[in-house]
Amino acid sequence: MNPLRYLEKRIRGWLPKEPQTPSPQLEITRKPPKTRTQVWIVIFIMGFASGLLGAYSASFDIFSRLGIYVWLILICLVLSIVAAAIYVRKKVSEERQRMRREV
Amino acid sequence: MASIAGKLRTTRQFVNQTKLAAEAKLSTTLLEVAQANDLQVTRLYPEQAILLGYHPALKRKAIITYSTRHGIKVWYWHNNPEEVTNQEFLRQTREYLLDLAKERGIEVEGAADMHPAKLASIIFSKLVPRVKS
Repeated sequence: MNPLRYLEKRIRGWLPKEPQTPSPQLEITRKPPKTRTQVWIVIFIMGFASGLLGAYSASFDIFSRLGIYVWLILICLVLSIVAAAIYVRKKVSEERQRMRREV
Repeated sequence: MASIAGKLRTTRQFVNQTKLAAEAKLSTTLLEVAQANDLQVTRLYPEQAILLGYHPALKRKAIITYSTRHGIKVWYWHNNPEEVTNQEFLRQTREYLLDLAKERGIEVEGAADMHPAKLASIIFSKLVPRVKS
């Protein structure tokens, strides 16, 4: 190549410093710590409610056998985890939308 | 100056004083940014809102610019800007430069397809002839 044309084509110039911090998009994918605390609160409340329900059902002698009592608690716990998962998904999507709006 | 004073229904003296005050504030800000970025100040152009400097540790020339829309930015001279591959960063840089050129009434042919480093070089050299493209 002609040296003059090479020099003309060669790019040299000014650029700002490339950002070292992770981009906001990467930040959004991370679960915010606030939501994590809320999840634990929901699981705790639902677990407590399921325990209470189990205890009441036993005291009213609805389910006389212990096995049924344990099963009832387990079902309530599973339901609480499902409810917490739905709650978390909703919260995370809300948080992402909010952060996108801010960005 | 007279037309601005007419539009604002004020005196030319007031407009001139406001302009001087704005330039003084801008100069202070540019010098503070230069200090924060460890730059040696080579020259200050308050009217163009540009500061030319040098970074002794990086051994690179630097420019500080101010745009009303995007604020302050520090630029460093690159001998091989094609090494920078972050497309989002390059897009934002081009956007900043196009806005800066629009603000200052500078027209650059083929600016949309130009590498931002080259675009910056052309715009800065038009703003300050001392900066050669």
